[in-house]
Parts: sequence; structure tokens; C-alpha cells
Amino acid sequence: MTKKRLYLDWNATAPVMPAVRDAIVEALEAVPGNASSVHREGQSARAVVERARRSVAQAVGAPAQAVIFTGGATESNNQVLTDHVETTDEPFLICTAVEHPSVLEVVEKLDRSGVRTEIWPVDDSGRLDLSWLQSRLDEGATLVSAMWANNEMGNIYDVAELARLVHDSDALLHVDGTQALGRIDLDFDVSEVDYLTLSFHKMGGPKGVGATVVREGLKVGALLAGGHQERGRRPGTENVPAIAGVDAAARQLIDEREQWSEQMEEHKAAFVEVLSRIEGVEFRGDPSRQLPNTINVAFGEVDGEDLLLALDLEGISASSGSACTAGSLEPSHVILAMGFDKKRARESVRFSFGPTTSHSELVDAARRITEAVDRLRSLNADW
Amino acid sequence: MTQQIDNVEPQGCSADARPPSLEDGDAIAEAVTDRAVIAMSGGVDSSVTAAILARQGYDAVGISMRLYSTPQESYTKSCCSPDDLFDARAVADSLGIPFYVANYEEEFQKRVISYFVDEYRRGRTPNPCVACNDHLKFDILLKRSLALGAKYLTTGHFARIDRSGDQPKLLRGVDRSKDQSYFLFGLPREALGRILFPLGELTKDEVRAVAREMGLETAEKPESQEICFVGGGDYKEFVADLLSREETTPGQIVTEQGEVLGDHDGIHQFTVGQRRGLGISYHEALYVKAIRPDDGTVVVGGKDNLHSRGLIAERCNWLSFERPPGPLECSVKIRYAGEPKPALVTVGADAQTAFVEFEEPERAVTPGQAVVFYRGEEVLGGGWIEEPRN
Repeated sequence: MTKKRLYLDWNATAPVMPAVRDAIVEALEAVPGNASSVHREGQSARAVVERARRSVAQAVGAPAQAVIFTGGATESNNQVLTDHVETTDEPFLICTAVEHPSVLEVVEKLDRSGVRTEIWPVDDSGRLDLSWLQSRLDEGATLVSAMWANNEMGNIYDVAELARLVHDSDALLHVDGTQALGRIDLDFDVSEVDYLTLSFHKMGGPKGVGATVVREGLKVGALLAGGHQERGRRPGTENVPAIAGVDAAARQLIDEREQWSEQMEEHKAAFVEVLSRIEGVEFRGDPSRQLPNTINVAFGEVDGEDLLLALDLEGISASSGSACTAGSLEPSHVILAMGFDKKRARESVRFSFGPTTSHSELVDAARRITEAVDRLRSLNADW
Repeated sequence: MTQQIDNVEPQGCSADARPPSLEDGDAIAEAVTDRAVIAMSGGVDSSVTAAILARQGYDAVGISMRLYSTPQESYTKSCCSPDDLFDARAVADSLGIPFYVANYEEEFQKRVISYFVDEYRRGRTPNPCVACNDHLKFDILLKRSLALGAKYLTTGHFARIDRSGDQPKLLRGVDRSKDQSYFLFGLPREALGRILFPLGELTKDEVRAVAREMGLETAEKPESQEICFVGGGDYKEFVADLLSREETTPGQIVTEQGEVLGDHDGIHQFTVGQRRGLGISYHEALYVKAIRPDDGTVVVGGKDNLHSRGLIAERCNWLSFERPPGPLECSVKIRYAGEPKPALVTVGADAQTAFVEFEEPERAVTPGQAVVFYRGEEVLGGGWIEEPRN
């Protein structure tokens, strides 16, 4: 009798939705063509890609021609930032301190090559100070990169407000929507985002495919040379089966997202309720504006890595910090950016779930977490 | 500090708390009673250890300790490099056991690397493997293992634990050429009941044979010989790199008669008994006899003057008793290589200090190294050599 495993690491990646799996399998079997070919097989592959483009556009409130399929969010982030620097006179890049490494490390690399950049700090709840940004915009910042929602502590940022500020200074706004997609409403047009990065595997879509969404009238160049695909903005034969999976994911999102968000909000409240009975518990991030599926929590004096291993052996998958090449954990740069020292940053554990995670699973998980924390603490005391 | 260790009820050891990752979980579930963590370095010894435990039906969990960073592009031959961790992971995967990497860089820096450099700075010769066992493997990793619900921490050391009596005893490994009991004298006595050394009954050849028979990825992997974190380089350079200019102690090289033979630029380059690399020419072979950190003097002498009749050891740890009941007629090892030699050991009032009288004078008693006390197969305890006595 083994305990059922509870997968609470959706912000790393999510289980693939059945409709997505079916669409991928169907495309693998029935759509053999290259979407650039003239013949029928090519035409049906093209149809799959264009149908998916319309679905993604609808899912995020953008026009279909704005959507460029890429190999994932990391590629999209690289594409937007490097293209901006290549095509702008006196580029001045701003990104938040809690961005994903696929933004932060690009900005750092550009900085080393002589581009003016600055990192936008956050407070101890992960919140951003708009007056800080205003002063940088006054100094001539040209592109601001901020995520719609953070992957580690789940904070949601007010993208429409940012866009207003940025556009008032004639700068551009890039938003990484990877963790927000499927969890909150993303409205590209209404929010007046200039560039949006998307990935689909955190919400049950396939891995290895993403999208760059670009405002009408703006140009974005390709990272690679060698093909006309995606109007020359992403060379390489389209991954048609994966894109078919994206189509299925986006359609389901259009139909069910609101219900997912509501349900996750309720389940999260129940989960947090049980965890908050643990002595010395500390929820991190800004609970007033946080993803409905993400909880970042520290249990005083309990090392996150210890807890993670103990939970894995008890059948619960969670995450803490980021893994290095060798597979050991470094404290999260996001939690460090919020001003916690290394030891306290190492205490952070992230639980993230999805629409198919049930209320009773989360309550069961919270009980097992409570037991594991108790055991780790009693052992600390004994020694 | 460890009195309660035996009272910690292992949790999650019942079959229903096991992770569902074993493929044929239900078949094994009946045989499994205890969870055991295996410290896996990626070498053949710990790979075979894990294989034996898994085969015996333990609820085996592999953990590799990441102790220091190596540049990702480098390929070192020593343990704990990313490549070794990949090897450990591959073995765990082929055994179907869960595997984790624990980051102990900070602790290793503090407890082993800093200690290593400090000892050289003070003119002593450190033993980082003992320090790593005492502070990393059999302290924090053992605690973590218990926290994970394990009943045992298992390592690939060539040593044995005799559980036939009331109190478990640490014994030498049967393969005398590989016996690692010398490095284990500092284990908390209370921890012996929580440790398994399955390789202690085997020879190295048998270990290789098991690895080949089980088709383990690491079966033909060469031995690591050097100090792991120095990574095959020169330890003197490693130490020199970590010492600031003010911390190196230059001085003179003098004979016991006071004849000045030359200068050197730091005592960290010398070890008692060392002959090579003194950088002076003399009419007879010279050996380092003593190092004086106060003024940086390195005393050298001929081969005949290297022997001592005894030594003083500090920070002793006793495994066979709380403290010795009286003077011990036993045998001692003052370095890893070689067999124990007869000696008489008496202890100070607090049992932390030991006075050792050798039956026959011993060559190159080296401050900073371990002295380990044996009676037959049993490790009675040990301590850290403070100074030779005549």
C-alpha cells in the first residue's frame, strides 16, 4: 500500500491535459506534412498551425497575426530583449529583480557587452515601486521587462498600470506571461502590452513550444537565420504536433479558465488554512495579489531542502530554490531579491497546483506537510 | 549531544509510507522493513553499497553530498564533481531507488576546507577525510537521514560494525589493504547503532566483482587517490592560494644543532617526516623534524632523529567505552598506511587527552594527524596528535 503521489509542482511543469495528448497523437498520425509545403499534406499542417495561432490569440486577447510560435518562453524572452537592443538607438533595459533567468541572464549578458541596464528591486513582499520605474523612464529607459506573475512567490503585477507608465515615456513593455497563463485573465490588447512571452506547459500543454506575441506595428527580428517560417521571425520547420497540442490547450483555456481560477482560489484557501496552523509558518509574497495556484511558505528553522526530500519520500512533489547542474539546490534568487538572507531563503518551499488538483488532495497534502515539519523539528531538537 | 539518537523512532519505515517509485513495489513491500540512506559519491564502492542494500530489500534512498563547486566545464578525477554526481544518479536510476543531491558546500567549507588550510597555517598536517566523516557524513548527513525516516545511514567504507553485544563495536574491514577504520575513530559513539558498512566484509576485488555482476555503470571506475577538493592538483598551491600574504609564515630551515641552512616562504609547505622539496642541499638526506609556527622555523635532521617514543593526543573520542577504565595496552596507528603497533595509552582526567607510549619508537609522529587505538579488530577510539614525546 503506497500513498498516492500528490504533484504540487505545476509551476515547474504540469501534467499534460488529455485533450492535448489526443491532439498531439492525432497530429503525429494524421498530419505528416511540412507546413511550408504546397501539397495537401503541407496544407493540412499549415491549417493546424494557423488554427492554433487563432486559438492562442483568442486566449490572450490578441490579434492572430501578433502570435509567433517559438521553441519556448526562454527563446521568446531572448528574442525580444536581444532584438530590442539590436534595433534601438541607445537602448536602456530595465527588468525586475524577480524575473526568470531567461530574462535576468540576458540582461546581465547585454550589460557586460556595454548596454545600459538596470535591475528593478522589489520589497520584502516582492512588490514593485512604480516611482523607481518612473525615475528610470525619465532617464530614458527604452524597454521594461516584467513578468505578469512570478513563478516562485506567485505575485501578480499590474501590467496595465505598468503599460500606462511605460508608454507615457515612449518606452516599450515586455511581459513574460508564462506563469500567469491559465491561472488569471491575460488580456494583451486591453492591457496594452507591447511584447508578451508565452509558454504552455505550465498549464497542461506541451513542452518545447512557446510564443512571442507582438503588438501591431512593432517589429521583432529572428534570433536565428535560415528560414522564412513565422514570417521570418522564427526560422525552422514548425513543430506541428506540439502546436496542435497548444491549440487544444488554448481552446480548453478559453472555455474553462474562469472556472479554473475560481476553483483554485478556493482550494488554495483550504490548503493555506491547514498550513497556517503550523507554528512559525510564514507565507511569502503578496497575498493580496497572488496567483491562485502558488504558495511560497517557510517553516521557521526547517531547511527547505530537508523538507523537500522528506516530502518526496512521503509522496509529495514540491520545489525549493533552483537546481544546479549537479542537481543540488541553491537558494531562490527571487526570495533573495526580497531581502531574505541565505538561510531564510533556503527555508522557502513552493507548492503549486492546477485545476485538476482536488480539494481533498490539498488538505491531505497539508496534513502530510505538517507531519514532516514536526518530524524535522523534533529531530533538530533531539540532536 | 547525541544521547537521544536511539530514541528517535524512525518514521515512514512501514511499508505504506514508502515512496511509490519502486517498479515492483508490492513484491518488495513485504520484505522491506527499514529505510536506509546510502551516501553515494559516484564511485564504485558506494555504488555497490547501494546495490547491496537495494538487493537486500531495504527501502534504499541514495544521497550525494555536493561539497564544493567545480567549474562546469572541468573534468576532475576526484569525487563529488558534477560528473560523479551524474554517475551516482545513473546507478541509483538503474537500481530503481530515489536519489537526491544535498548541498553541503557551506558546511564543507567551514568544517573541512577552512580546517585544512588552518592546520597547514599552524604548521600541522591535517586529515580532511576524518574531518569530513566527523562533521559531514556522520553528523549532518546522518541527521538528515533520520529526518527522512531512515533507520540507517549506509556508506561504502571498508569497516565493520559488530552488533552482537549491547553496544555496537566498530571493527576493521576484512580487506586489510583497504581498511578505513582509521578515518572513522571520531564517529559519535551513539551513532554506531544507526550506521551500516556493508563493504567491511568484502575485499576490494569482491566489490568490483559485485559491480560487474550487477552491471553497475561505475564498475570499472578508477580509484580516487588525492584529496577530493584539491582535485588532482598540488595541495601546497591550493593552500597557498587560500592564504593571504599575512597568513603565510616564512622562516628559516635549521638543523637541530641550530645551523641555518636556508629560508623558506611559508611553513604550510612542510610536513613532519618530509624529505623531498626542502630546497636545500646537504651532505646527508634531511627530513623535517618539527615545525614552529611562532617564528616559522622548520627543524630538519637526519633519518636517525625522526623517531619518537610516544605522543600526546587531544580531543579524543572513545567508541568502546565512555572513557577507558584504566591504562590501555593496545595497538595504535599514527597514520593511515601500515599496521597498528603495540603501545600503552593512558588518559587525562577528562579522557580528552591521551598519552601514548610506543613499544618501539615510531617514525615521524605528525601533529594534526589522527592516532587511532585498536584492540585486535576493534577500534577503541582515537584522537588528534598534538606533539611527539620522548
